[in-house]
Amino acid sequence: MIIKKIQIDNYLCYFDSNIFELSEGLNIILGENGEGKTKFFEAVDWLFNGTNRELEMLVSAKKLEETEVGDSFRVGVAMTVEQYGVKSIITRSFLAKKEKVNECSTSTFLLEGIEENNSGERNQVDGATLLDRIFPFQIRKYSMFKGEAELNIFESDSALANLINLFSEAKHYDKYSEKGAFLREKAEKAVEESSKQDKKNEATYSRLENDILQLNFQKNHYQVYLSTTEEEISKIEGNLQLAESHVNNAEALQTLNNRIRKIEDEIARKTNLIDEEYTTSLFDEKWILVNFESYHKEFSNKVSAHSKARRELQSKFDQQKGFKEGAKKTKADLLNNAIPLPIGVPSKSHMEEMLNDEICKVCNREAKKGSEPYDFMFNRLKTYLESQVVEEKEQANDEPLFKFNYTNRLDNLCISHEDNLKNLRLTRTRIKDLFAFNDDRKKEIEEHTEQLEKEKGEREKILGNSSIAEEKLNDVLKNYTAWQKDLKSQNKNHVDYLALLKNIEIDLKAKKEEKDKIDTSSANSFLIKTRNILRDIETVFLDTKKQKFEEFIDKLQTKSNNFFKTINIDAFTGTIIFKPKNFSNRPIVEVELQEDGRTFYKPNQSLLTSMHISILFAISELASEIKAENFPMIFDAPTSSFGENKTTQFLNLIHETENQKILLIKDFLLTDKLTKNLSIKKEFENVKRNKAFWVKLERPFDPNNLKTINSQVITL
Amino acid sequence: MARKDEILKSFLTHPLLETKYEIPKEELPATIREAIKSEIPIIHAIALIVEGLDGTSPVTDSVLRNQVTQFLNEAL
Amino acid sequence: MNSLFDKWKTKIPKYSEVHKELFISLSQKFGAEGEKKINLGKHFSTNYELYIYAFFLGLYNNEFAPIPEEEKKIDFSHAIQNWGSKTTITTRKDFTKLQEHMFIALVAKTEMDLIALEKGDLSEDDAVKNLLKTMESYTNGGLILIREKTDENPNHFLNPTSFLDMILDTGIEKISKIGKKTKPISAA
Repeated sequence: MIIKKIQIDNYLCYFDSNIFELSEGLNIILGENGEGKTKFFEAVDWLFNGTNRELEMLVSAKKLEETEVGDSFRVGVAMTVEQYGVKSIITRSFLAKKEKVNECSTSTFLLEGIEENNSGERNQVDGATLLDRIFPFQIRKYSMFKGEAELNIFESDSALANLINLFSEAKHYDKYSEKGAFLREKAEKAVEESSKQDKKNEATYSRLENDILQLNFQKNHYQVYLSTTEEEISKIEGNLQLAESHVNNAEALQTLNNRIRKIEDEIARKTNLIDEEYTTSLFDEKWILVNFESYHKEFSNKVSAHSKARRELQSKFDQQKGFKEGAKKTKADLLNNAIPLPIGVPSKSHMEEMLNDEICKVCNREAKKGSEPYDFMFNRLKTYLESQVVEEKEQANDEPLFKFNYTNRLDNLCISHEDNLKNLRLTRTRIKDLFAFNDDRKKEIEEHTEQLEKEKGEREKILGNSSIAEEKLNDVLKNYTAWQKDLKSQNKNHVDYLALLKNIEIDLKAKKEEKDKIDTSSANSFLIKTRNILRDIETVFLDTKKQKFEEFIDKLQTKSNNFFKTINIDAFTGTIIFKPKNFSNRPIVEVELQEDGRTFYKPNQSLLTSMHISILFAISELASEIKAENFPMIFDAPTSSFGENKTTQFLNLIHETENQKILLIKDFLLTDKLTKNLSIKKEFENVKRNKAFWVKLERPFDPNNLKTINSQVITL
Repeated sequence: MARKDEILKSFLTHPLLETKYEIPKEELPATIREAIKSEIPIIHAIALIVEGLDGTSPVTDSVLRNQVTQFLNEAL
Repeated sequence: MNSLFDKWKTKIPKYSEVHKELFISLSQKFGAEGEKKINLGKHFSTNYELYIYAFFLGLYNNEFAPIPEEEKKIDFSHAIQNWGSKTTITTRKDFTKLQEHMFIALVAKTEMDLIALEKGDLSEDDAVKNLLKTMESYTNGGLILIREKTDENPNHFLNPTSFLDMILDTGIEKISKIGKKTKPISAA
């Protein structure tokens, strides 16, 4: 639809009837500050959204002045619109009655609608309904822009939701994720109830439920920390960028910051290498055994002395028993009646090997079969083998000398620790080496720290060489270093929280699996199957909703960037990024500018404006696609930060876009220094447009006397 | 294509149906009318939900729950 | 085959209540690790670590100091075999070998008639009781040494090498002193 005509009657500076016959495409309304531009915008806004409040404030002072006391006149704004060949006129107006000098009373307003069909037949209809039909409220909202300050439409939380409701399929999917969760929860409940019937698992089950609750609580907790940290990081980065923008030698600063970061990383790495948990090492590295060797020796001596004494006694006992039993067993006696070694030594396999090779490998002498040494070994092995078999029978017959045998285990302990002594002797060297290693690292860290101080000094020098006033400079300097430090610690927090959350997720998963396992063994199987399918269905619903949402954001982003690139042709190469964020389950979107993947926190006003205008055009394009219709856009002073050159470029660009645009700007006007006369600059001829107006106050006027104010509309 | 069929389609093309339920793409029904006759429980259940929420006569939560849960409990 | 070690490690050794404060201030019951441990100003992750430490310290210094009759004996209800068990703390190393070393030292230092034990004239319980008594006595000695240090200077153990030094000082060389020439790492 297009607006064919706007008529403003006795509204503020618009005395009597003022008509703007608008064209399709680009309409430009020029005007100096205070001469009626913004009042035009406000009049249209009042037509769309006006209330009954303080209507007397809208009355043209000049008209009131020229009216006789007791007489009335109409104040109003009317818009003629054409849509599919049908003309509609919408008028919002009220009656003002002059009660005495400078005072009037007003009626309540009237919103009238008139439809005129192709054959010129006119129909009176409800104005509000008509307005919303031809120019829906939500679209109107994104079509009216008042000044640069109010361009950022994403500042409100509901902005994105509105856009999605207007233009995206995603709106249909909200209820599915809701109902999916509802059905899944009910199915979970059913399974739980059924599981709880099984008393066997009651305690474990409620423990798990409790654990899961706790973990979820922790998870939420850390997610809040995480998002706070993220916000903090972007705030600090923004501050740093702002500070850097005051610095004259930005490139050198960048290099220095990189160097500083590198040194800091190196210090962190080396610090990590230093292990100063000496007390822990006493245990884990067994350093505490550093002086242990003598005790081992003492133990070893004691055990072998005992072992020897034991065998001596046993041998005597056996001999005596031997006498008693008539030398049942012939013992191979040792020379000089020495005490024999324990019977299992050397081991059975070693004895067999020596007999086989016919060599005593203990004393390294031959022991040919049939020789005395061979027989000695043979008998020893035999005694050992017998000792393994007959013990029980013997015990039954006879009380043994030793009821218990603690010696073997003590012996084994002694032998198994023998090898370790070597290690114990090395402990001191190891400790010494570690200290040396740590010292070397500390020295390196000291060197790095010195280097770091130097680089930081360098940085301060560069910061000192900046373009802001001296006292403010001190602040920036002081804060700059502090911000850098904050950024470092926040980044560390960020990493920590991520790791924590990951661990919680792992725990949660394990607990849930454990709980599912109990369910599987306790609950009715059809309930479990139902629950599992409903879990999957919820996943499908959530994923699809997310996908639709992302598709929309993606589309908006692509469209916005297309406009953005054209407006800023040959200049800034950055990209508009829409960052969806899940803020307590409400999707919101943050818009930012990125340059080479780096967030550009403090773009100048002109860049910011062009970004916002680009987004608005993108939305307008979306509206055209969805509604299969174009809607007009009205901008009040969108380009005040652009400068005339860029404004020309901008106007020529939007001239190319399809829908109707009404632009109010103060550029291209020239005031003669002597006569104070206004004229239009030649440059305006280069601006592509479909129609142009000039609103200017009727001369002469007294800026302090409203009664002299009358905006004239000149069609150019 | 009616909106409810459009919505059904966007759900049925979720990778889970192919990877976990091993339903070949060519066997996916294109309309709610077909899907509600499907013998594959997950397809049938999704169809019930879409019909309940975006069909000609939307149903309440408890009706929806009864329909879906009853169907699944009996079908599995 | 009988084993004194297997019996001994099921026991819970005691310490004198007079040293309770030491355990509270120097060790962390819940097995705090890494940064957390230092933040809390605790040097030992667990009570039994301090116990083991005190035992070796007493042993190396030959401070055999039986807990006097009039002092109340308390414990931290944790049997030796569970000390440093892998299942409780995943980031640390197993203590089984340390348990064996303590046992070796106890057998070496305890007057005990092993012949009588094996003959059955001395009960296993009594033998193990003896070993425990030795253990408690050296530990008590070690705890007294530690306490003397903190009484002299409450900040003594803030130095990360203090505990190591006390062990090393009982030997020939004092190597960790080399490490003190440079500033502690926190100053870097």
